[in-house]
Amino acid sequence: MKWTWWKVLTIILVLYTVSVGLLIEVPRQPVLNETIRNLFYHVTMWFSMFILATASLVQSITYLSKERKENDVKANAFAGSAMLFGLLGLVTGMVWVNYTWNLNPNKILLWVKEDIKLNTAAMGTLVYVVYFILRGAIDDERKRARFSAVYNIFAFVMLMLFTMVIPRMSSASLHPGNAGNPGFNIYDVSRNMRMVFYPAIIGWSLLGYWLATLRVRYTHLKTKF
Amino acid sequence: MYAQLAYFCTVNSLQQVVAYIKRDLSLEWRQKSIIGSSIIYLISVVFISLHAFESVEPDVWNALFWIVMVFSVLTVVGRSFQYEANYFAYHYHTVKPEIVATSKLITNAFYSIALAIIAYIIFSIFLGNQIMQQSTMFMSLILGASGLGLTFTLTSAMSARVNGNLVLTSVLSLPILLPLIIVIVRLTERSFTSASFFENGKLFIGLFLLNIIIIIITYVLFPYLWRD
Repeated sequence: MKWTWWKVLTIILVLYTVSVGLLIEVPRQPVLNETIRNLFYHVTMWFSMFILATASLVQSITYLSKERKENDVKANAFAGSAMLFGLLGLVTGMVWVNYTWNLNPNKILLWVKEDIKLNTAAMGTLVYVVYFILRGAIDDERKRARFSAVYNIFAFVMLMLFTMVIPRMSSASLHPGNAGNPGFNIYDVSRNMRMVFYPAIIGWSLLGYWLATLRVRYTHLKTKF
Repeated sequence: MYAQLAYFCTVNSLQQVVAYIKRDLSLEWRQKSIIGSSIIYLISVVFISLHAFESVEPDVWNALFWIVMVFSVLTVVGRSFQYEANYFAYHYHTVKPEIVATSKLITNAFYSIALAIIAYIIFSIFLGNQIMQQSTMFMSLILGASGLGLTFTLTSAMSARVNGNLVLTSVLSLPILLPLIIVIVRLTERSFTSASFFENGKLFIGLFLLNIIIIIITYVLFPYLWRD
């Protein structure tokens, strides 16, 4: 393994998130209580997913304009780690729902169909599954690269619209900070939490980037031999 | 065919789009296979539910209507590039991709809206019509159906260029469509209540902008699909 400064930074930030995130003083909000810490492990997953998806989008656009193979490989790798973080975001959310909204105490993972954010987020993760299905369906290498780049751009724009715009239009969401005021107004009371929140986003995104680079190197090795 | 080639050399792009749409519609009119098959599909679903349910509640009506719409639009629009895929080299050399994209978008939106209206009439006749706000329903029909048709356009072009089967189209477009369908279903739900047309203004504007964005993306990305 090649040690570079950002890999060290990733490890430090992730360790910091996991340890300090569980230890710091958090404000006692009604209903939320201690589960407010999920801000570091759930909300940041979505932020990292969007950052990685944006990276994948940039690579796809570059592929369409320059037609270089490496951009396609990178787009694929970034999409892979974006999907991983999307799945993690879903799972952490489903566990959190169980302790906060407490709609059905007998289940560990819970799906709340009334919350539009959950549905759009699940679709967002599905889109990447479809992206990989499309890649598997095309044999010709250049055609595969071009078509998956086109699909990636199309899917990304739709995903952004659905996750950013539509939840804002209909206020039917149980998420904290929703129903009238989107954003993190509830969390803004604590500066402590921001001290972990922003490093957590950077840490998880760097971790995703690390995974993506490993994937890129793996693909290069596979095509070499 | 050569007449078409000669014609395309002499006219401007608007006339080319019109000619292309005319060709599509006349092909469809000659075969009547696509629209015909989806109307058969519509009627059979309505008949099954007519005999399966004792009375159709608004919720069931809503769900059935949009499920039927999604799949009948899929069968219509999913085949829209079948002809081009068979004679790809010819089309590639005669028509600019922008012309193809524009005319296909217009044709598909037209097909979808026509299907939606037909489906609405059939549903109202057989399963009853308890909608209180007809204007809300009408707008969500137009915007929702055209949204479905427009979204399927790019993905059906993609699958036609890959292997030409309908499965890939549905796989590619359904996850993208589902949030759209959530919004449309909510709107239709609203039209069963007494909420007035203007109370849903935000959702309508959102749907309209969504259609515009799909058109722009398709127009920009289509040329990349249209070459070898």
